[in-house]
Amino acid sequence: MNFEDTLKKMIEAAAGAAKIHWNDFRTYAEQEFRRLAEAGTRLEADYIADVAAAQHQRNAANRKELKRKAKLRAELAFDSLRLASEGVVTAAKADAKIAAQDAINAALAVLRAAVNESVGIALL
Amino acid sequence: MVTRSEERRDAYVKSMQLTNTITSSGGRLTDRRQIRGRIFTGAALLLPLLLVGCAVIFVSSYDEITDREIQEAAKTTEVLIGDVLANQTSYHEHAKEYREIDGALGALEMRAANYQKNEAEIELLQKTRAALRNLQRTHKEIGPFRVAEAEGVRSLFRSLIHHELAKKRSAGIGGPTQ
Repeated sequence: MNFEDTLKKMIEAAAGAAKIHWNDFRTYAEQEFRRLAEAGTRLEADYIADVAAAQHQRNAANRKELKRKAKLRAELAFDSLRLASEGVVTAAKADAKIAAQDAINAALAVLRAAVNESVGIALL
Repeated sequence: MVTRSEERRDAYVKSMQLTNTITSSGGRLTDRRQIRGRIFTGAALLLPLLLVGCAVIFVSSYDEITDREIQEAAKTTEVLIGDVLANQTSYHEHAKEYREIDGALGALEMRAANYQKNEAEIELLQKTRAALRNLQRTHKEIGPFRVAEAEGVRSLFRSLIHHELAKKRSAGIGGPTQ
């Protein structure tokens, strides 16, 4: 078994396996954070518009109720955005683990093939 | 002159030397330290071979049923969101769908809990249910929700689908499969 050659093949296999996940993760994370940032901006604009509309109400009870609804809308929506942002981080962490797992397994597969070839039988 | 206690000590030393020597099948004498050394060397050589023979698992394997059910729940949710945004439909028209989606996600959470190293999937399912409850509350207590208010649920479904695709890709590369 040629150590240098096997090591080189192991590193290439690991890098190849990790790169597939990295490319997919980068596209996903970029798009997702952009969408969440856009939604956050829109929620803020909606809240300002709702509060402004509530201010125009002459009836104090109606005004108070509209403000309460605007606040609740914003709170629930921002909480969902927070959950979604955490979800992207959770998925990203899992991506990193899967990439590491596949990189190690790809390298082990190369080593396994090299050992089997060296001993002349399917030992592993 | 040799005392009785010295005799006893000599006898003890001799007996210890005897127990430390083992006759091999070839008649060759080897002490315990050498045997331990050989066992250690053997284990050191065998361990990498055992490691090569196994695959490492950091994240649970791809499950086709979970993937299909997530797609189904995402589809039902998208139909609901689309209808509310386009037609401003009331909560009562969709109350049953909210229950169905939450039930489907709850069942998936139970299924996901049966797999080891599946924390990410469980967490994503729990967050999706929480975001869906927020959307449901907005719809029920305030009225038809707006597009930005549905973004949290949509994003979490995309994260779930992305996670399933990463697992599927891993299975294709050589990762664990069911």
